[in-house]
Amino acid sequence: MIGTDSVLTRIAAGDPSAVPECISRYGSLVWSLARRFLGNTTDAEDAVQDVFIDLWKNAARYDPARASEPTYITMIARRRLIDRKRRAGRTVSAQPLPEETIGGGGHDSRLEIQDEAAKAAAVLNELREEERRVIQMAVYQGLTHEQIAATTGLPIGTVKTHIRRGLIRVRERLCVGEGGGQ
Amino acid sequence: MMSDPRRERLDELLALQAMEGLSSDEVRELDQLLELFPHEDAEALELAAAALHLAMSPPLEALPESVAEKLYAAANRFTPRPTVPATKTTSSSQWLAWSGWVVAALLLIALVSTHWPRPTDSSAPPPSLAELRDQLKLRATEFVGQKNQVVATIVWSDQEQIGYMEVQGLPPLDPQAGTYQLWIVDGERPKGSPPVDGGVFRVNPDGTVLVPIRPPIQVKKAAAFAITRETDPGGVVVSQVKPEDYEVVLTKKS
Repeated sequence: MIGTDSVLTRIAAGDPSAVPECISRYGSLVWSLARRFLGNTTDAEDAVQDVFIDLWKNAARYDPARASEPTYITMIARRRLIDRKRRAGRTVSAQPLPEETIGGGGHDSRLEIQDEAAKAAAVLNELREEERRVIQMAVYQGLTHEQIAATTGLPIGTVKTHIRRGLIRVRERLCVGEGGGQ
Repeated sequence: MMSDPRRERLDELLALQAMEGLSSDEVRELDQLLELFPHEDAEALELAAAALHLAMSPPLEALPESVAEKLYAAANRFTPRPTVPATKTTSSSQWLAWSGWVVAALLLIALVSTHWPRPTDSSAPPPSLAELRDQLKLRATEFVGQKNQVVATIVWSDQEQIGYMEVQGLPPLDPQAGTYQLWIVDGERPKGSPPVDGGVFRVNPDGTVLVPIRPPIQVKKAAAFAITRETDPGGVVVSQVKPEDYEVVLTKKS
């Protein structure tokens, strides 16, 4: 099985070699998230460093029984990036990505991330069309409830309900797949 | 249960936290609600949003070399301390509440450290890749290789699972056409095992590059390295390039 050993668990256990390995496994993931959230390369560089230092310092907070490592790292990165954008007084919104690539991450982590993404995509496809559309606008395009309501013509209460129910459904389904959760 | 307005408000705030973040007032409200529902997983919807984000993301953009260099320098300065495993999570504000004590403790440490003799200047710029490579050279093995105009050297430590590769003479590739990929032959793996992926890389316009090597899986005893030219821009899991077509093979420096 690819990527079964958690670098965060090893960091929490005091393994110094896991710290740089965390970068080689998840550097591309965190960088891509930061670029998408912030757009500006300079902001993204600072944010990526913040995210990794947060991950290393709080590695013991990762519980493999609750989520896969790529999902947990994405959650921490999203949290830091959302917070960063709120502090900057900007709306959380995704930015278009350039195609340029330099360097790259390990294949094991790439495959693990793809595997995790495929599971979530399958769950997403189980949602009702309207729920799925709203969730996509909120998660991927980073639109606010108000922006989604304006775009879709749905009442804001319905937008909130779709997001809430959709997230709960996804979490429940993923927990079933992971054999645990709450 | 479902009609409990406090329960509904809790779900609403958790969903909002996962998507847009919360104001300080909302964080306080969330904490109060979480006290009423102590078994609620405060991160559950954030994890769901993260999983969905992974599902919707396009192919990952590779980490730029300059950013990687800074991160690895930060990693070198970070010393992990063994800690107890994760337990039930709290909301972000509860974390912030006790992190305030951590910050206070860190400030105290910082205050003490400013009055303590320091062996190094912490304001000094982080070491360059070349400096890190030279430091590692003292406790690692050197590998060298040459083929036509390509000259490559690698400093690698089995013990630390880190290395640095410097190459000259590799022609830059069009990113759409392919990429260079490093492979590590692990002498401890069974015969016939494929080499370990050492990562993909691009070279500077002058055909040179100096990059850190961090394999995703353990290399017990590096016996050789090889560089291939892969047509998939993201690299491959197992190379189909024939050994005679390798760009260069590096063996232990005698």
